[in-house]
Amino acid sequence: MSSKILPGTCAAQVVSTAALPPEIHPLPGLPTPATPPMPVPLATILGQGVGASTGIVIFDGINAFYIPDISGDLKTTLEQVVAALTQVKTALDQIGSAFTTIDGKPTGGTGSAVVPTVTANVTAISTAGTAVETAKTALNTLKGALK
Amino acid sequence: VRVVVRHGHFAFYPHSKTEILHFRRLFKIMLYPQDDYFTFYGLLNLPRWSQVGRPFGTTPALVNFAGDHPSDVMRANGFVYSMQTTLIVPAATYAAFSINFAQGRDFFHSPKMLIQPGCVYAVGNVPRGILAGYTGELDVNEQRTYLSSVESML
Repeated sequence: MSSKILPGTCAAQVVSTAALPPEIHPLPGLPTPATPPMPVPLATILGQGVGASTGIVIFDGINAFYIPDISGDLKTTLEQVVAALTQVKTALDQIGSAFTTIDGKPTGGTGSAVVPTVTANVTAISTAGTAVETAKTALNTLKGALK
Repeated sequence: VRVVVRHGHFAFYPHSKTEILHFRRLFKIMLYPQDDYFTFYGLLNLPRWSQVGRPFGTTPALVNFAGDHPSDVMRANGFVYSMQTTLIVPAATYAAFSINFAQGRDFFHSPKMLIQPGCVYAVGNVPRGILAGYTGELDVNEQRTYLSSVESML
């Protein structure tokens, strides 16, 4: 059994084929008009189908399948994960720096080491934590709108 | 001319080039080459797939389907080629028409040379069903058609 593959789209779980140009007929007279985008009822969506997407529609026998192009999802996910890991790295660096400062063990008195302060480090750690939270929220949003 | 009608789709296999000319003179209908056979204009270059609502030929398809031959698509959609309108139409268009084949020793004899698929058919006045297709020999000299097999719609 042969199959037919066409460009398609999916929005709100509704699969459609893209518009097709008119076909060239070897003999004049037979109408072969261009066809607009048309829904594909009962198509099986091989993805989440929540977010709007482009992809391909496969007709195989009496079955129809839609495969979304999820490379955008994957790229965005990876970018968010990289951003989160970068912030975690920043936070860990700040924690390490703070511990180093604390480890200065001030003795007080004239000529002794300066009393350490970690306020700046704590602020930077908090900022990194907020950025990680932001990345997590973005990932959760993406999870709810996967193609 | 060997005639093979599958699911309302006509394919003619001439034994010689002159048979096509005889066919044209006899029926006043042109046949056009397609793959390894000849067929009617309205059956040229039909797709092997259909999508609900998208024109198959000129008729909006009823089902999503992909097959190996346009006749597969016609079967899936319940379509037949109409020799009367030269269009692809629902088989039910011809449900009110009937034809009765005579049972020969090795063949069925048809009262018509070209038989419209979709009509109700009988063999020796015994109803058989709705005609989906047939295979036979259309003798343009004798002007008779001998059918080796007939096929009902499921």
